[in-house]
Amino acid sequence: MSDRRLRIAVAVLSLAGLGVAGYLTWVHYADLDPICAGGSGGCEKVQSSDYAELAGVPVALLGLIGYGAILASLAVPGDAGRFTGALLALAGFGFSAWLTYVELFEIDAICQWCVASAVIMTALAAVTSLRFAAPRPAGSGHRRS
Amino acid sequence: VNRLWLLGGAAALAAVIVVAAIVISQSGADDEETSSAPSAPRVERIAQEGIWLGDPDAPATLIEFADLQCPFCAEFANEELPGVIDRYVRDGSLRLELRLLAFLGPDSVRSRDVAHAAAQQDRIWGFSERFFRNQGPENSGYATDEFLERLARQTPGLDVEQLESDLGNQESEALTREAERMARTLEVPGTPAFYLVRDGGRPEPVEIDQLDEALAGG
Repeated sequence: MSDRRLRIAVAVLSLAGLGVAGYLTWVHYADLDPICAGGSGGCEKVQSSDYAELAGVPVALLGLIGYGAILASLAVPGDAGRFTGALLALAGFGFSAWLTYVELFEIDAICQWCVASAVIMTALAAVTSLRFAAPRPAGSGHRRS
Repeated sequence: VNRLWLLGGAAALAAVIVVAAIVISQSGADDEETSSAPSAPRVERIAQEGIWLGDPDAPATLIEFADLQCPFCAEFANEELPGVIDRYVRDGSLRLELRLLAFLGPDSVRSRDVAHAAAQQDRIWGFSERFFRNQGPENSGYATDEFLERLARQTPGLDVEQLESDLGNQESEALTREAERMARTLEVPGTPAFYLVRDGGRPEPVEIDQLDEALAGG
């Protein structure tokens, strides 16, 4: 797959992640209950748990910053941008995996928005890793390093 | 191959970042002592003392009689209480008092005892907020020690080891007896039941949907 396609995939996934994290951040600060299929019980429980914030910063806001940073890494040329994107997405993936574990085994509730974000971050980790590790065909429109 | 090594390095660095984040998250949950405690959307940001929530100098106090297992109490706690807090408790015009009864069954008794132990750390409101959000079917045996301990651990500022040593102590028993005595004196008909005390006067029964009028009426 060409670098251009991978860049587009990263951009689309980051924008989707920004949407999800942005919504959860807004809900957090507006003190609202997230809209969830089948009732908001699970989402509300997760959002109001101790795990919804990290050192006082809402996890949703961290996600928003993370997706924004991954998107911004596309603007950094060469391997530096690719490496940064992969590093951020891998960290996001690890953190999402931990949060999913917490939802299942500590909070005993699943928030659909969090699952959506975890899926997006997993896909981002795969695509950004591939983008960094895989050789890119010539003529992809970007400088080879 | 170099790229794969670099990618492996990125994965390792990412793992370090995640572990650090988890450690920060866990340590933060243990030492939330102040009103900036983040996890509960409402009560942790308001002064708590014993069984009271809000300004001790508030001109009025709303006493709530509740059973932690009572579904209507959970409905009130989850749906209406936040509005009451936002409208009256935040600005210091109302103080809330939680009087827990346990007439629905063994799960009520065990849960109330834990809540009364939490009151000794000024965390009964945070604990009961979590309990009502996680309330299970009445007398289904869900309020196990593990369930109650998990809720306690999720309550910011609550020292679980201290809570366990306070369980059933004299202060807890006193809270239980006082709630039962007040309920008998006021002839509380069921839960949730609400009584408004103004300027140190006698508790007057109030319908929660008429609280606005009752408070405005002075």
